[in-house]
Amino acid sequence: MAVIDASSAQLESAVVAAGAKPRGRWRAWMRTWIPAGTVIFILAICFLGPTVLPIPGATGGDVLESGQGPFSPGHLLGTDSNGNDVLSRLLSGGQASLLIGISVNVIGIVIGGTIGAVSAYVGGLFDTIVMRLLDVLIAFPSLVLTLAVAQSLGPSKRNTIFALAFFSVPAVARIARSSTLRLREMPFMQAAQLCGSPTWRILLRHVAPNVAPQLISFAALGMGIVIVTEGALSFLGLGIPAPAPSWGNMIFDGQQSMSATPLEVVWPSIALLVTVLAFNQLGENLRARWSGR
Amino acid sequence: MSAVSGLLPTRSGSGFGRLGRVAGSPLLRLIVKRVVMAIPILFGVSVLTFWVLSLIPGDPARAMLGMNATDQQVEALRQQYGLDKSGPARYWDWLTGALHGDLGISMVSSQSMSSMLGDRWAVTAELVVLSFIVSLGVAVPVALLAARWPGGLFDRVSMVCSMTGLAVANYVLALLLVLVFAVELGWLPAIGYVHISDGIGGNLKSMILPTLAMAIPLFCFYTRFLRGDIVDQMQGEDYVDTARAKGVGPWRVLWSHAFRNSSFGLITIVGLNIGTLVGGTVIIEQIFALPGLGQLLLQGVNTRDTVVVQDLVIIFAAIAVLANLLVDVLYAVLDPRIRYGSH
Amino acid sequence: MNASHETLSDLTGAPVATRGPAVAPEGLTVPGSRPSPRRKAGRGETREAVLEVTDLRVAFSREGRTVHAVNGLSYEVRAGEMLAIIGESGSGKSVSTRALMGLLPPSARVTGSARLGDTELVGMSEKAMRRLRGCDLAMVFQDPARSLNPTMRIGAQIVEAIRAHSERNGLDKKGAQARAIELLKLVRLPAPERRFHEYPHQLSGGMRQRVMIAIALAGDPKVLIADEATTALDVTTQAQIMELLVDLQERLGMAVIMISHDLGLAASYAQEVLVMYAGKAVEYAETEDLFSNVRMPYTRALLGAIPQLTTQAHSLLPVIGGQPPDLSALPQGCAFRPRCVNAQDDCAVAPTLDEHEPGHWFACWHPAESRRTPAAEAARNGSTAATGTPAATGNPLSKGGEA
Repeated sequence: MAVIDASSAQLESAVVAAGAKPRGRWRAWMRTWIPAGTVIFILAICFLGPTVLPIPGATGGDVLESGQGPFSPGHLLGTDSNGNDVLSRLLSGGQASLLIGISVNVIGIVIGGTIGAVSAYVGGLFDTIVMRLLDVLIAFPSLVLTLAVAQSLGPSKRNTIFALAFFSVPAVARIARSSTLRLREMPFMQAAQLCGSPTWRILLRHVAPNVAPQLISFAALGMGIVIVTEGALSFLGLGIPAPAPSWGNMIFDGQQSMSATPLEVVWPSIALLVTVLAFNQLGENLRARWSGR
Repeated sequence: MSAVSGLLPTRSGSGFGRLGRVAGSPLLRLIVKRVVMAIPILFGVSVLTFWVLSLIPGDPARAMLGMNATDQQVEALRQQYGLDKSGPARYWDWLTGALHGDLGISMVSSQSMSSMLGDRWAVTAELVVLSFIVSLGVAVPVALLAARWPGGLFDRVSMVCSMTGLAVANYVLALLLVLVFAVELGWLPAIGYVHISDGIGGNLKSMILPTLAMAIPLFCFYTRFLRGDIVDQMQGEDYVDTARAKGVGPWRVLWSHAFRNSSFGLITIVGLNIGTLVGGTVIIEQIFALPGLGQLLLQGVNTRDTVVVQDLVIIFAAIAVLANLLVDVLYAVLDPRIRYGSH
Repeated sequence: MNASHETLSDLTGAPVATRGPAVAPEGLTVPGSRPSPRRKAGRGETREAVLEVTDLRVAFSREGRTVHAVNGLSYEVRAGEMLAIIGESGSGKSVSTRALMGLLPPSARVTGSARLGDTELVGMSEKAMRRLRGCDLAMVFQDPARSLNPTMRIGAQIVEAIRAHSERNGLDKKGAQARAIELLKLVRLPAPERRFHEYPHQLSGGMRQRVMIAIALAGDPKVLIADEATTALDVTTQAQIMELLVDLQERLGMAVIMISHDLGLAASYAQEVLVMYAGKAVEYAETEDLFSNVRMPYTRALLGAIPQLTTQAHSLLPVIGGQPPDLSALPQGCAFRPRCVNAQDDCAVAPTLDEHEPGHWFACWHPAESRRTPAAEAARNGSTAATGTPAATGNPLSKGGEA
């Protein structure tokens, strides 16, 4: 019920539904497309940049060229203490972060979504057991067990993905479960069941399309979390092994010489901030849009 | 007096009678249920930790002793730590030990875990508690001010700031704080911990930057949640209309009606956060060289000290589970709908 | 008898017609006068109007579009009497009363006039309005399960209402508590001392609504607005709450505005009925008069849509065809025209609310036939004088709310 009562709430929603004035529509458009555009730009520049742009490689720089400032010839953002081009490392590091973020979220949605939807749909003892298992996983301070997993598996890109997926799956499963539970009460679901459609078909045709928007908007928020956590792992030396760049280990490297060359910490930090901000905003807007608010 | 009002202070009735009513109260039943539910979760957490760490390829004993150790030395170490036993057997040994307060002996330093934990837990606890106090202490007034005039200047500024703050990783924030307050301004120590016995002033001073690094993202999160929830209440809840129709002033409507109801959601959010927050201490303690549990965990990870890692992962998870339990109970105690059951 | 009609309309008719700016949305004709029906002289003494609403208009603006929720509403309520405002959802009945109390969101623009005694409510500052709310003007909301704060004890919520006006009643905390218990007794809540310490969820729906009424009574209101106050309750409880309201209204000499979509309820309890459609009053008369002699086709359609004992089983109830109008794009002329069975070409010009018969106002060019023949008139007046209770005669609906 809105501010006034049912009837005036109806009035107000009528105003909204009937289409807003250009200014309102423009604002809504901006709200979605500025973060979406930023995300697309970051993806494009990180994945295409290193091959398209005329910049040196991310590793194997000449120590003689180390410590150059921004705008020095051939190095737009300068070089780090090993003489590697900072811009190049930023882009390759971003590529690693995004790849890990996307992989973890895809694993999370596919496995977690399936577990959650099936568990809610089947219900009963199966659901209870699954929920208890998820409770156990969710109880973990994620970074702590990720550390342990990363240590036991050894630092590498693939192992980082596994370690992070360990926590993405239960979170997504929870969301998928609760929205499937809500769906189950809907008349069209009951109609489908009464028609005798097989379970897999109901899950695929009715549950999946209705749960997907929620999962996708959560995944956008999840990208931010995964990228930050991956950065933390790399920062602690348990993520992407040096000399391969990642924003996390660049920040760690920069920290060593922070008082002398603070910019080395600043560049990857800004990249991290902008990326996470864009994904967070995208996720929030998608959620607001799809929940009809 | 009915059973539902058993917790109301009554002058009549013997102590025993009151106790009887409390035992039958929905609150107590709920608390018992939550405690019972926490036990299998703790159990699952420890099993999972054991299982994950047993996946480590290679032999921790060999890894510790290095390449030059003889097979006999390795075998002796394996026996000493029970590594020659099967997984379930080792888990059983650990569990019986842990239940008697014996968490084992570090493989690297050969000290007992209890002595290594020593007063490290206090450092971590101080960091976590201070972070909660600071973040909630600032978030509540900021959210109230923002929700008082939604869409106003303060609201907009605080929402943009909190949105940005939420996207800053705590390690980035930590470095930024060190850069500004320690390196540039020189106001605060960059690293190190002053024990509370060496003066509370120095202790707090050494905790300012770590606390801020933990509290700022948390503050942003709470502010956004609380502001959104209060605005929803102010616009959507009938009891807010009732309060306004009574002629109650706007701040009082905000505080004792909207916020009072929002605070329950806040408690839930805080509970869900504890795990993340406790995990965050690992990296913050590392950056600021605080001798807490997180630092010990990282040492264990870096020296491949399985006993330390295992115990600490379980301790961290247990803290998260127990904190959640505490929050659930707190919620039940505060919410009259649970406290008194329904009619 | 006939002469007295004129004298009474002379008494109050003139000042009402000119008050308040007439801000008309495009395409709407502004009727020149906004009169109110007058008490018939046959009823005896005329009490003074506590609340006089004249040409009240409410518009919501959002993102460039304007919704005209209330479009020139005029009525008055007298102390100790009950006015029922009837209409479908979206007809503006709730919005119009919330506008009086200043409870609309900032996007609402309220114009016209509403005088509570000597005080003009429209355009009043929030601060001044706050002093009136819960004091001279009080409101009971629809859903008692939602309109009480679930986290506060009943007593604290009533005390809060009393303490909010401590500058007026001069009660300290102790005094306010005593007064709160008194109020709970007044609304006949069983075991008030114990309920004082309980939470809303421990009470039944009817008891909660009694608490809401107690809160509303905290400031001795001159006007009590009951916004669908019994809609969420079951029929038995509904009758009890209505009886309580009527009793309190008489004992405390309050004016009550009862908002409802339930014609039966209005017929049973109110002295006057105002039917709203698309933010306007379309018919306005004393209860008996209105129900025994419905003129406006919309009111007739509303009445027709109610099942009655005399309706043959399994026969289809007539429904009002079409949709309620879009308030952001009202049609030219009479708003009910697209759904009206009597609609003709001249309905493209909006009819004004006029007193077509003494004490019976409606806005229609082609009303239903009047049943008020001279003979019936005489009989009716006789019976009114004899019984004196509202809605007692010739009303097929009067049993609806009492069951």
